[in-house]
Amino acid sequence: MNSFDCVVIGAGNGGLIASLRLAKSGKKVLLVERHILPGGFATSFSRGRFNFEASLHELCDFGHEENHGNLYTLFKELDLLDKIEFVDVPEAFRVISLSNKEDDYVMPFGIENFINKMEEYVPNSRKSMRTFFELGKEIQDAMRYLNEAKGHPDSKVLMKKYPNFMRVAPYNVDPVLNAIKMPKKAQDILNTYWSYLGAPSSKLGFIHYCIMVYLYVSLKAQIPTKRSHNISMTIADEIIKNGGTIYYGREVDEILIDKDKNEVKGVVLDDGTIINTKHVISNASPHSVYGHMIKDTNLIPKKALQRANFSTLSGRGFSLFLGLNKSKEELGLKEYSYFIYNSLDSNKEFESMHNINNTSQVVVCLNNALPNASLKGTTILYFTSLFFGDCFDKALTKENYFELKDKLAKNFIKTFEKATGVEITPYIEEIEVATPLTYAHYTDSPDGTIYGYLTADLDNMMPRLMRMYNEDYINGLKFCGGHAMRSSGYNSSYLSGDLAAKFTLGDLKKDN
Amino acid sequence: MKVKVGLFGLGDMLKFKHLGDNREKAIEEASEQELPCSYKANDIARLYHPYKQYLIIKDIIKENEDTKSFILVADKSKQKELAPFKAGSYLSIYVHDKDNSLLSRTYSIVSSPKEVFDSNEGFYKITIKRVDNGALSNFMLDKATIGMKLESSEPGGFLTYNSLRDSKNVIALAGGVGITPFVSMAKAIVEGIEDFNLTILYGVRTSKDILYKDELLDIINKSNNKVKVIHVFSDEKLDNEEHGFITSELISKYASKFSDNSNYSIFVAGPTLMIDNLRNNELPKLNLLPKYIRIENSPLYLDGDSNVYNIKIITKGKEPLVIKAKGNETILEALERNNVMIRSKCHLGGCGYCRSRLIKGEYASTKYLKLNEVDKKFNYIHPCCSYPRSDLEIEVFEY
Repeated sequence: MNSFDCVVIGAGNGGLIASLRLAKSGKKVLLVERHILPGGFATSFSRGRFNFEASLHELCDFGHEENHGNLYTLFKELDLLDKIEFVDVPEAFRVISLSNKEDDYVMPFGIENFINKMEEYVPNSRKSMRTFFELGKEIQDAMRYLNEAKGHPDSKVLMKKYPNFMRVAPYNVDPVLNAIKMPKKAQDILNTYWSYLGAPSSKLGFIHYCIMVYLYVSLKAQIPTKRSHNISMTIADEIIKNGGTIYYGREVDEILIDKDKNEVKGVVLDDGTIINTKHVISNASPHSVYGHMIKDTNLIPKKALQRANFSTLSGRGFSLFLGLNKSKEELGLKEYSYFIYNSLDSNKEFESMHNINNTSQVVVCLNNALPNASLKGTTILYFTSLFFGDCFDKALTKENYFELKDKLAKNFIKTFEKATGVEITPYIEEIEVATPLTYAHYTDSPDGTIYGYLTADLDNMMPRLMRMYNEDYINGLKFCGGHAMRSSGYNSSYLSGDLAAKFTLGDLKKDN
Repeated sequence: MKVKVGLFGLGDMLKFKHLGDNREKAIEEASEQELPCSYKANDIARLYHPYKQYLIIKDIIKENEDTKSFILVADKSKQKELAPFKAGSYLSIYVHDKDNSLLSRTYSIVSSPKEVFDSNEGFYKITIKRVDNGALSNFMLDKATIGMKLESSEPGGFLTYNSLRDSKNVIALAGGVGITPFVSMAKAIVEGIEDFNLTILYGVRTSKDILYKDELLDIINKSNNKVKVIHVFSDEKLDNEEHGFITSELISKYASKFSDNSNYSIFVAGPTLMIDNLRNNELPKLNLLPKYIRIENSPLYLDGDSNVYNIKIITKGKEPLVIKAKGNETILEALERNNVMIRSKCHLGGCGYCRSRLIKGEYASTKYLKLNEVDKKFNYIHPCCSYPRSDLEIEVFEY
């Protein structure tokens, strides 16, 4: 009875897709989620007249039938496409620097449009921009080849077909952009998206950043019309329809390990129920699994601890949700996404996010992609930022949490008003603030981090992918989600769930 | 196109080939120390958002003939501290009556947010007025004793002040025991936790029905003119006191007395009759924007169906259970009467804590039900404001 082919811990984006893939492959899968909702960060909530998106800004690697990315293919394979409606986000981004008023740029989607606009802003950037996007295309093709080669690429093929990919792959963003002689100002504008990955251009792998920008600009970005909650609920529904089981409101307290075989033998739920399984896919982080889900720490291989300690916990989430009682036209909010930084230098910005008073932010005006996201005459605006290190903990006491939330909210709103010249404070009808504490509450992610492990240097996506076949330390235990091989972000988490499920399917074949 | 980053392109290629090995080496050099089993943010998150609180009645205060207050402290054998709250919040209280069936209702916290951190012993104070046929209020007034254990939710609710959203001037419209959230707010203002001007129009039948008379007087005196209380007697005429019901004229009269009388927010708590009258008749005359009106509804009841239905309850990992439910009790009440405890909080249909999945059957919900489009599509319901109208099959998520 209490025996499953695989237990998936956590119904975040990775866990949901892993469960659906396993269920669709005819495996007996149990998905255990501590909250009563699926999705993890991918959800929605209501305040007064407003239904807020909890986290999604825009999907990457999606696109449309005629020109689509990996996430689109995955959703199609899993029969999800016709069940969720998506719309395009209108423009790539607007980026504003607080320290230099002239630094205010709006960038369009479409590679030619993007290059032309950049040339307008930064004369003589065209050649390097074109090289950048050509690299993006080559990286996409090379990644496809690597994926098909399943960990055993032929280096002759790589050298012949993807030489530029190989030459840029070991480097972070800055050295490559310098090597292709991109003017500094164009680099600054191009690097706007850095905060979506949570690591500055000096630490962020070029491959990862380049392909993300390439996918955004070439495929445009999409959002679901009924919030990410609809994606999460649809996947959860499909899991059940395909014979999977979901326990909501339950937690995995312990993963049971067979000491002699160094393999998973089951899990214990919070009510003491023991589930027999040889396979666990954890959407919860290695920090959580090794920190409290394996009770006898002697059973954790030293190498597994080293692997987790090698990584750094990433940015800790801060979000501010506003329901405004004026239309976007009345307010003068023309763009969908506003990236507001102190300066356009991502390395300095990253450092300043170690300070609790920092108010760099990415703000989404949902109604600019979905005019009916809220009632006529109202607007939904949500802010996202990151705190790194312990600055949030230092500011937080047991007693001051509500006060701290108010103070942070005020600072962030003030910065938005200053940067855009748009007054919003008098029109706030609903306000909700989410801090690292909120993210910790809903998902138990360590420290309330929302981006998994920092994608820096040797822990960038490329080296993670290159070693993903070799980083199993306990047989039967795989990870998915932001801490796993594809790093964080909606598309990466979904794709990581699919990878983890496929590895587990391979292992299940060997079991028999 | 040929891109070279290093001096020699070939070196870059080798570097790429070594990327995996270099990662492997870096991992081998990483620390072998055990990973932390707790984090400050996660610990404080659990303090602020406990799934359930275990409480003991430390004291019972008789306020009047049919109203008592209860001092609730943490059951130290189960939890060290109480969850902090914003003034104006409520708790959902759970008790087991003699048949071991569960009863739950929400009550606003009347104590100050600071009193949770009281150095002697943190506490919540709630005030309960007897409701005709009210299962939990009658139980608490007649049977609850000092030392009795009960459980509660985390604090919740949206009748709280936010300086970015609300006007600096707040007119509170309180009916009867609806005064409680505003007493907490008034205390918070005096203690410097909140900073706004609060004028409470307190509707009561007669002077005998006034709750917290002395306590509020004391607060007013200490409030540096920030807190004012005006009694509005419906069944008694007194000199220099307001008489009748709370009307738009009365609200305007006191709104004009704020020193800076530019605008004001209205917060409302009280019985359904009063709230309906304000919402439908009085508040529209004031022409206020929706953002300036915050109403905490009282539970609504759908009477009129005295049939008894069967509800089949599915809880994953357990055998299905069939219970009897009356057409005039909420699905949540039916579950609790049968000692099935699911998460719940607001008892109005808005917070989503009791969210459950309807598999089969018909039901009716009160007008306060708030369910997003997606949850509707997937047949989710909020049992706290929904009544069976046929035999039902539902999936619930137990505590």
